[in-house]
Amino acid sequence: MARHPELEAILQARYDLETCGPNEKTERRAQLESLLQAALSQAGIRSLS
Amino acid sequence: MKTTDDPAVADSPRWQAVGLLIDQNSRDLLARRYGLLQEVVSWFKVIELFRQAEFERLIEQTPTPADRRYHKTWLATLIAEGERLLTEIRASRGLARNQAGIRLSDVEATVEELYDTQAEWYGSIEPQRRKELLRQVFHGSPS
Repeated sequence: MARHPELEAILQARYDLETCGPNEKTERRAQLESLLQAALSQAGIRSLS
Repeated sequence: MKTTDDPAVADSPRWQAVGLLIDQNSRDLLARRYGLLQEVVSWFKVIELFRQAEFERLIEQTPTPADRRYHKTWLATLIAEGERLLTEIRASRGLARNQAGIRLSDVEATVEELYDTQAEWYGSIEPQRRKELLRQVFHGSPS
């Protein structure tokens, strides 16, 4: 399977969020949401429901 | 739920440890024994242990039905405890400045992270819809 930089970045951000210290959660969460939002916007999706 | 008598749990010391700590934290929180900040720190510690158990029992190997049941149960409990802590923190007008640097927003972000885990493992999204979304967002690369 070809590598997918966007997906890899999201998975890395998810891993970073789960493994970071408690005092880093806010920033890590924001980073993950920003990447997810960018991917959704690029695909023209407004909701996952 | 019994945490020590069930043979499925006794087989996994990690699940047992998570369960025992959650039970203890719940008792301490209700008794207001150690103060809010200490309860928040304890909650974060249990989440770390929970993540270790999750990795060991659900990711590194094929989970048994008992693994999934305890994972689901303790995940829901950790979310409930997190929501309760958020209510307490808001009622106290925030978390006192502390050496660990933990803020209200860190607790909020962690509760959301746990909700994400719940949706990922036990969400109601249909497999077909999930595939469709992944294809739409990532142009069909992931399976």
